[in-house]
Amino acid sequence: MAHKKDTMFKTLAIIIILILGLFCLFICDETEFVIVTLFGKPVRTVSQPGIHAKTFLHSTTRFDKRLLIYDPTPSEFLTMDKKNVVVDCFACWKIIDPLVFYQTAGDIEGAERRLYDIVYSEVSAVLGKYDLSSLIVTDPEQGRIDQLMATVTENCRVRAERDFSIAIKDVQLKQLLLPQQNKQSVFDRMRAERQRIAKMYRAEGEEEALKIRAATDREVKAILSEAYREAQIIKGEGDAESIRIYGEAYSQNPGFYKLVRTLEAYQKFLDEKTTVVLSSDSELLKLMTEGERAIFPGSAR
Amino acid sequence: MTKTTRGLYGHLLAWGKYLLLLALGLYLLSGLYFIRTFETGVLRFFGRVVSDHIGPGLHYTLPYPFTRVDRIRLQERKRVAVGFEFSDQVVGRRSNPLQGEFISGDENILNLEMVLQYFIISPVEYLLRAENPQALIRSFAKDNLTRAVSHMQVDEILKGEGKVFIQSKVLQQTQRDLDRIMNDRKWVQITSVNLQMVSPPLEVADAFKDVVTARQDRDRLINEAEGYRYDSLPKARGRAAELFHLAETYKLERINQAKGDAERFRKMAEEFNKKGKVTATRLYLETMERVMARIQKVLVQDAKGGEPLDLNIIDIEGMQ
Repeated sequence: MAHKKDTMFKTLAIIIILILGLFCLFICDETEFVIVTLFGKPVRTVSQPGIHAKTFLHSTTRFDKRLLIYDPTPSEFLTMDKKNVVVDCFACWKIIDPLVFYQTAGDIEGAERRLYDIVYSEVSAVLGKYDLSSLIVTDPEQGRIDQLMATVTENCRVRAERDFSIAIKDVQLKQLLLPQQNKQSVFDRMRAERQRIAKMYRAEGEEEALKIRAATDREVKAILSEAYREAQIIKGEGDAESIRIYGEAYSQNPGFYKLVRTLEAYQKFLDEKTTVVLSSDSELLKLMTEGERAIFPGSAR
Repeated sequence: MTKTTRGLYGHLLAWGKYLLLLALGLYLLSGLYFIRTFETGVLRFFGRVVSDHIGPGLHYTLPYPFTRVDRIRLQERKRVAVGFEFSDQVVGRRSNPLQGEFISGDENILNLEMVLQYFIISPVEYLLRAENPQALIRSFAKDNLTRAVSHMQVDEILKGEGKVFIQSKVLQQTQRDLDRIMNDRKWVQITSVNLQMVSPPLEVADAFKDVVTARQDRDRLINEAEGYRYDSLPKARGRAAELFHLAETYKLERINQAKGDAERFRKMAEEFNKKGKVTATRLYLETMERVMARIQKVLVQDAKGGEPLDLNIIDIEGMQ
């Protein structure tokens, strides 16, 4: 019986030791800092991953060692030229000294509150030194967003490191928006611009089409008038040549030509409507008036 | 203690020992784990990384809470959505309707949707150095998209070349930012950036569409005019050729006719020259024959005395 009690006590003792042991050891993960506190007062910081020892009276608080991202809701800001713009930015940050961080910011929530103050105030201040037209501009050479965000990053980095032992690696601009109340006027402007462009295209088309048609008509006229001119020349050549040929032939026998031509003329102009008064002396009528004597001159009647 | 309770107690103790051993055994067995073919394992031993490239297969390590195994797929293309949400991700979060809105350099509002693809190069960095790597990548991508777009004209962005330009710029810049943020260590590799949607807001979509239509109208008008040109010029040239041809024909005909007439005259003249007076008389009488047949004739006795002929005695009307 005493033996049995002994083993019972021994096992209990082992169990108690194990449990106590668990309380004296803790694991520090790759991704975290661990601060060991004694009754709320920080005693030491552990950043080496692995298993570490403490007394069972000490407790641990863990902090994220990783790169964190802070993404506040977008806010409206005023540029130097009094334009409203909605800025959606984000910050990449990590804890430098967890102890200082713990004492100043406390935890992630607290840090984000502090970050909000810093980032908001810096963006507001720096943005107020730039015109909207230097941020939103069609020429990349004139764009100042890089400068703006670099300044904001630097200012925030200094303050965060100094005040909360937070290393801000980057503050960047996720999105730039125009405020809701301005949108309607922006849409109106966009619509008007599009209409202007559409009009321009159509006018261009008409102008160009007109030019082409006019040029075509001009060319057609030129081609046709040139062709007409040449045709007339050729015809003239034909006429001239034919006149020459006639002239050549007729001039070799002018007398005969006159005879033939006159007889042709008689045929043409002496028609049914013509009245001719013939004298009985006429050659044609000689046979009628003088009879045989016309045929045989010198013969007796 | 009674004999029975002691016995019961003894039994419990005996069984308890075996149960304890069994529990211990099972617990130790839970340290077995396996890695699939397309996965890589990262093993943390008491919180410290001991291996970041455990290959596929069955492995053993101490069970929880002494160790932790994370699996990562190195070859898998991961996707990040900018300006919208993937349909399988909108869970419990209200989707922000403004998230796809961007401003161009000429203060036009556009809706953009972009998909970025990457794969993990360093498991340790991806798993253990950033709390939310997807959010990091997404935020930087959106930042670079905003910057790219705010320096371009809306017409450029809507064009194909503009999209390509933006995509490559965002890829380069985002890769640079991500490397920088991890102390110049390349922990992810962006493989592609795709601007899958670029569109003007609904309120002005019609106006934008009309510009496209206007461009088409312009082209159409010009094409029609060119068609007119391609039709008219050949026709004119054809007509010109026709005129030319007709003139040539006329010339030929005229000359040939002249030649023919001249030849005929020459032949007649030859005849006349041979037979002279007889030919002339014949021609004369032939003509008179034809002529006299059809004209109105008045035969008058020649007044050999010299009284002038009074034409009024001829009744012209009566002879019709």
